[in-house]
Amino acid sequence: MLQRLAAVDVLVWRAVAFVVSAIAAIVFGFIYFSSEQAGELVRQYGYYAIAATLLWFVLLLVREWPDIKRAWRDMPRDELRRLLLLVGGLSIVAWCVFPFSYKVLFDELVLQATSWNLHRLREVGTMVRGYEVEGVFLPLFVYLDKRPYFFALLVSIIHDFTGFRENNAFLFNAVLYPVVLGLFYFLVRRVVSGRIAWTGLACFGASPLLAQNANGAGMDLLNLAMVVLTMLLAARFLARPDERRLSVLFLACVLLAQTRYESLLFVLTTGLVVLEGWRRAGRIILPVAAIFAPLLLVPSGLHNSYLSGTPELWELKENMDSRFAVEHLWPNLGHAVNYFFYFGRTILSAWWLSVCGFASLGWIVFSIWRRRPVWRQLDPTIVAVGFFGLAIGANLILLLSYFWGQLDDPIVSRLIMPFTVLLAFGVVLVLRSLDQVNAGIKNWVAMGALVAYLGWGLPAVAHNREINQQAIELAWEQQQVALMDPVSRLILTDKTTLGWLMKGQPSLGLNDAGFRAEAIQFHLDHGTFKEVLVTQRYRPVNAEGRVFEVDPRDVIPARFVLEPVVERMIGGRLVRISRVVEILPRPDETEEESVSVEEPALLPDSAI
Amino acid sequence: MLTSLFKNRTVWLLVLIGALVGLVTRLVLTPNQSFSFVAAGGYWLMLALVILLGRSIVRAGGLQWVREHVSRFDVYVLILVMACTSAWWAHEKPGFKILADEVLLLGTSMGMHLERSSTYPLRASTVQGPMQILDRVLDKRPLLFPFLVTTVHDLTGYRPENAFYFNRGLGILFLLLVYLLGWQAGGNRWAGVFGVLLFAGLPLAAQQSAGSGFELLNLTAVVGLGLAMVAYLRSPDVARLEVLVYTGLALTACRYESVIFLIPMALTALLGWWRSQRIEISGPVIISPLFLSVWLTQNRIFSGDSTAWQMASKEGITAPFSLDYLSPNLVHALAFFFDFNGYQPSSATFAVLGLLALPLFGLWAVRCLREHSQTKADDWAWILLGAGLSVNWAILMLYFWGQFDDRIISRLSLPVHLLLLLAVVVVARTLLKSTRGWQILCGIAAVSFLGQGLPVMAKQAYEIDYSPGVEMEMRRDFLAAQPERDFLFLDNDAVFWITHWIPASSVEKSRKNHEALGYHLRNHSFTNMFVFQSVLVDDQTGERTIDPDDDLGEGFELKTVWEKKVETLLFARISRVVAITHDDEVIPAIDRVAETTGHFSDVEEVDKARVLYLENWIKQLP
Repeated sequence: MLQRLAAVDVLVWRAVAFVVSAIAAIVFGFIYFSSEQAGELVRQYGYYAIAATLLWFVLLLVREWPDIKRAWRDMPRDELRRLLLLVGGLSIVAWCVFPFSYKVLFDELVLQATSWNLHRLREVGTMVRGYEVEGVFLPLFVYLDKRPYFFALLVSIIHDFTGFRENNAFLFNAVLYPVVLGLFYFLVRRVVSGRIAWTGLACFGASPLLAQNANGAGMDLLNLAMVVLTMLLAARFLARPDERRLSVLFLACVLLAQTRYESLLFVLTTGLVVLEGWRRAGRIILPVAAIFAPLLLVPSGLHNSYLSGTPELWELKENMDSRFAVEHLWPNLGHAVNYFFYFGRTILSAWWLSVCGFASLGWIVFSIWRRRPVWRQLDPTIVAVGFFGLAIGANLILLLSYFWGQLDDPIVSRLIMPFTVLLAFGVVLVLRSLDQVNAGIKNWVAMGALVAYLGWGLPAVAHNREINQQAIELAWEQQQVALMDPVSRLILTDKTTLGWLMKGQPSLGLNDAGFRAEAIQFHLDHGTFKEVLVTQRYRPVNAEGRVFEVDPRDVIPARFVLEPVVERMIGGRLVRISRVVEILPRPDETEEESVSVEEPALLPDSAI
Repeated sequence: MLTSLFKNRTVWLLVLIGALVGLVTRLVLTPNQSFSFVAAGGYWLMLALVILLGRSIVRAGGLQWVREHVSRFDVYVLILVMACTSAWWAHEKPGFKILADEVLLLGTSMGMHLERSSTYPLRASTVQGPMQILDRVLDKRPLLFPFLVTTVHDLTGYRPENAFYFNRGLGILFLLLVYLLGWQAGGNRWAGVFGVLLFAGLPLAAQQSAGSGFELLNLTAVVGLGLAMVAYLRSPDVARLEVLVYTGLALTACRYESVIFLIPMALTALLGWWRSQRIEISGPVIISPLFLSVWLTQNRIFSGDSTAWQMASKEGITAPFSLDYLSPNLVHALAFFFDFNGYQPSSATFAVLGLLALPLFGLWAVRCLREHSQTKADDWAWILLGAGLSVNWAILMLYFWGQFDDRIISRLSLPVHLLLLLAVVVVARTLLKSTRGWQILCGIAAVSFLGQGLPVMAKQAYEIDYSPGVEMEMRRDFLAAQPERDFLFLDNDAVFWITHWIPASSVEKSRKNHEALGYHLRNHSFTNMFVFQSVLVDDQTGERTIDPDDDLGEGFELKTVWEKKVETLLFARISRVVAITHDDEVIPAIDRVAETTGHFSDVEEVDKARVLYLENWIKQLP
């Protein structure tokens, strides 16, 4: 009796601790601190919080190692060979067809810079300016970016063990690709035979979008990996609810929440999974990790508070005051349909998966409506994927109501990857039913996926290899500078400074050049920099060309006297590198105004 | 048997589909529709053909046969093959060996890779980032080779060098199949080794393995067909019939004249039915005529083209084929076979052994045909394969340009070499009673490989005096030396530059689009504008003149960047366009464009001007 009482007491204490922890998380994560304070806390202590969570997660995962090993060992040799062939084949193709390059305009560079900071300073932040001070390259101004930093943390760990290299982020994503494929296979293998799981993997993995992300430096593939891993852990927990499985699920969920902004939604679905697990176990399970989980989410809450209070990070277009609106839903839906059912060869979509996946999801919905299955008796994996599907669906709706949620935009397409898990899962479920009617269908579906990849996916990859014009321009500028004499120089860039700073090259945005002119002159005088280069884009003023004008966004104050060094046409724009030959003294305010509106005379025709 | 053949419905269905394919491709489709059909459907038909061929080999137990028959000896053979191909690659630099075939094949593979269009690009631009093909042309060459290279592009990313890598890999497969063929024809594994050594010592094979042409693929497919014929006749069943038919169709898609091998293929099928006294046809065989549609359509499009037989390349030629060409062509063939100074990529040992064995092979074949009831399945296969190869040779000897000692034509002797090998092996089988005899033959072949083949490959004389090849090497060297790839090239081999992602135009088009080039020079659209020209030297006066085909005409001011002697009295020159005169206006090349500031009021205006400029920019591409 006493023992039972003691057991009840422990459970009560744990429940109380959980509630306290949850309340504390809400208070300290969202209410107590101002936006600035929240940002500062994340910047100073965010690294240690997430690193501790990761360490704890890894320790728990190691404890699960016998289970993982058994899954491999019990797999028939033939099935293992087929799996390795498909995963290996898809991975090798993906690694070969895309070069390691920045695919998304800004995100990837920011994540690289954050990982640099985490690696060298253990501080969550992105540098804006950096200089070599007494032989050490140091950031002079660091700000907290809006992006969650789990990806940056993992890359920084690679930097810790191998030294800083830009390529580490690319290599990390390249390795993640087969991991994602493997995780997906093990997820669907829980509900279908090896052959059907293989077909599902072919539908899911033979995707040009995945191949693109496998060669980028973005966080989206990690997000996908974490979504599938958390689904898998949720399915394991529901199959046999116990403390160990719940602990590892909770920590996976905490890390997932810190992978992408919208992944916080998965906290709710994990909660639903836990409730269902308790129902299935017939008892409340509350391990220590569960009690601490809300507190571990505090950094996410703080980061969110910081982001909410810093509108300049929202990247809103002019005349916009909100990121989400219902009015975006309908046009974005049109773009989504165009993306999913695109049969051309320029967008990175997988129409075979869309056709099979939507048909399968439609059939599943119809079956549910007709047969009304008792969900309490459903397979744990289906329940887990179902719960996570709610979050993925909610994410999709959120994305469609986002002002920049056009899925057929090459920058936005990557956000649909978690939804493709649902599509592929739907395909395998339907194939499981059809297999009893005609066992050959799965082979045709697999063949269709591979042929569609070959016929449409890979040509789309070829089209998108060099679609990021800004990355091309930056690479050209860096190549040109590398060909110059190895002197210390400052780059005044019209793009983000990060591309230069990552290479240890001091750089300043053109916008900052004007009010830092005296500082630049000072360091030129003192030999810190031997030269100052300026990168700008010029635009043709009419169809005939002849005369080009500097892009209004790239104008540098007239105090900087420039001498063109080298230029090249890229995508209808002229990209030019110039050298600063003189910085004129600061004029008084009136003169400054007159300089900015003064229009220098056109060069005479003879000079053209 | 004949009655059951006529009564068999599936045979009639096969004939009906064949007739329909012939009718539609030869009569129904308009020229435009024919072009669209090949351009849009070529890739997909090749994909289906390769998939069905692979499926048929698996279903017929091809992989299982390999698993069951591989022995330690075969592993040594694999090592030997690797060593031989390594020797090839050590001496043969990868490059475009035969022009313009190889560049156009690469261009078609580029079109297939980027757009799934079986055409090669004539004009292309990267102004908007990804390569955009602006003009496409359908090539007369069959599509299997570009398709396979496209698949390499698809799976590993586009590289012009993929065609070289593909042929290098194919070299290994080819020698392995030669080993199999020799082994099966000679009844001894050492016969296979002999075949490998004989071909390894043939510089022509090495040259083709380092190029980007379709000759080696064609030859590999012929060997494959021979093996499929043997396999089918040994045990005529549906699965092996599929292998036979689809190997034959793949061979048809390799080279124009390989369609003649459909006759021995069909005869083999009939023979198989006759020997097994049953007619079995499967679905894939019934639909097989569909795969001839591309060849038939291409043939129709280009048979109406007066330049298709390239008669203009020789003076005084009125007919592409004639008996009058036979005698001189045979003399040229002998000159090719028995060249000892290294100016021909031939092997004298190969020729001596082969030409000695060939008449004996003919006599053996006649004897087999006379005693046909006792002729073994294998022997039927070798006779039919030999007949196909002989007809192939005969056609070449009747062709006005069938001179094997011509640099461009020598590669066409590869199937003849296969015929010679087959003859040697079959004749030797009847003469040699022990393995020792085969080993002696292998020794002779090995000595020939080391004593003649390798030195000839090392000397490279047969490539150095092929001026188009030297010019192409010059282009590649120039390109490799450029740190940037943002220039425009004016060159009659414009496809070469486009396949290397460089905007290019032919000299003739440049001449016509004088004004457009001025536009680009004025706007600094390209960092540089280069032109490639051949320079002829007068042997009496020493005066140098630009080849009229490469002459840009009035109004172009050029500055020589690189000039190289290609052969006696011929130079190749790369020049930079430094000014263009148009309507009395001199437009000089500039290092930077003129500029102004303060014109635009907002970003929208910028984008509007850019769109206008881009549209005009593309219109002005020469």
